[in-house]
This record gives sequence, structure tokens and C-alpha cells, in this order.
Amino acid sequence: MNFERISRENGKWDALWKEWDLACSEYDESISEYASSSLSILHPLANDPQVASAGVFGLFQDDQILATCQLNVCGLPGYTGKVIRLRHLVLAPKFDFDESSTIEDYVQVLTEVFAGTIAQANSAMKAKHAKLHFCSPADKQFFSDIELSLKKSSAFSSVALKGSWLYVSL
Amino acid sequence: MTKQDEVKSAIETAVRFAIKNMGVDKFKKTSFFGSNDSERTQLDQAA
Repeated sequence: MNFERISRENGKWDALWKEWDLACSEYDESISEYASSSLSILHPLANDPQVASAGVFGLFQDDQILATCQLNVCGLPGYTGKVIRLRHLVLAPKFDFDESSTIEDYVQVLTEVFAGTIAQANSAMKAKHAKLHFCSPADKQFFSDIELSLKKSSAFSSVALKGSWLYVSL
Repeated sequence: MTKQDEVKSAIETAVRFAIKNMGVDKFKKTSFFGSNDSERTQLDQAA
């Protein structure tokens, strides 16, 4: 799997839209109603001229786009060094409409997106901290367990859950 | 193992742990981070 920038400029946003539109139609759904609050934010970000500090990213496997999200990096009050933020993660329609997706599929997609974000923080979007935003209160317990597990590893210098964000320091 | 490998391994372990704790059946039925259903849950709660 590859985690990489998606934009109108590189043609990958149009590819995503066509692929996901077709996928939605296969389930008698409309992409105009699919994850509309997140995709409506990602759409202009992908279409605008690209800047190094922000953009839309996607997780690719072969010719499929499994997920997309927004990343941006900036300085924030209270931090030493920049912070990369992941917001508006949306998984491909098949995860929502099809019963064939396995738990292992979800594990791989979430792992690759989170790890891809950290890889960006270590390369093109230099940052010393990362924040992952979760979308609904239903995600809070899930992220509490993520926090608990990550705190047991030495991969990050600090891990915390605050409000609707998971914070890690590299 | 590179630092990125270590990071990825830790994240994968954490994701598996979180899904296991939630329970596979509940995870598949509930809204969760990244799913369209997560948005629907928000909209339902706002309605």
C-alpha cells in the first residue's frame, strides 16, 4: 500500500472521484451523499493549487484508493516544533456498503494511514508531533485503547488523548 | 528494524488491541473513525 498526495494537479483526485462514484452506484448509493461533510472539505483542498504544508492524501493498493484524508502541518501554541494533523479520514465506499471487508482489511487501512502520516512528519511535512482527529464520540473508546497500547511501546516519546484528538510526539 | 518500522508495528498492535477490546462484532456494527457511518452518527445525533 502507498500513502500519497491526491490532487487535481496529479490527476489522482479525479481518479478517486470516478472510482468512488462508480463504487457507490454499484450499491445504489450516490457519492453526493457519501461522507459528504468530509468529502466537501477535501474536494476544494484537492482542487486548489497545492502547497507543501497541507493537502489531501490517499491510501492506494494496486489501482484502488482505499481511504483519503486531510493532512496539514503548522506551528501551534504550546508545542515545540511543528504539528502534523490528520482530519477527515474517509474510507472507500466498499467498507461502508459491502459485507466482504474483513477486520484485517480495517487493521491494514488504519495502520497504513496512521503510519503514513508519521512518515510524512519525518519527510515532506516535517513535524515533531502528530494529532489524529476522531469524528464522533463513538470513536472515543476506540482511541482510548489506541492510546493505552501506544503508551506501552517506545515508538513515540509521548502519547495522550485530549478532547477529540489523539496526540503523539515523535 | 527502522524507526518507521517500529512506529508502524506499534500502530498496528494498537489498532488490533482497540478492535479486540471493542469486540469484533461491535466494531463491524458501530460507527467508527473513518467510516461514512461515523458521519451519519454525527448527523443523527445533531438532528
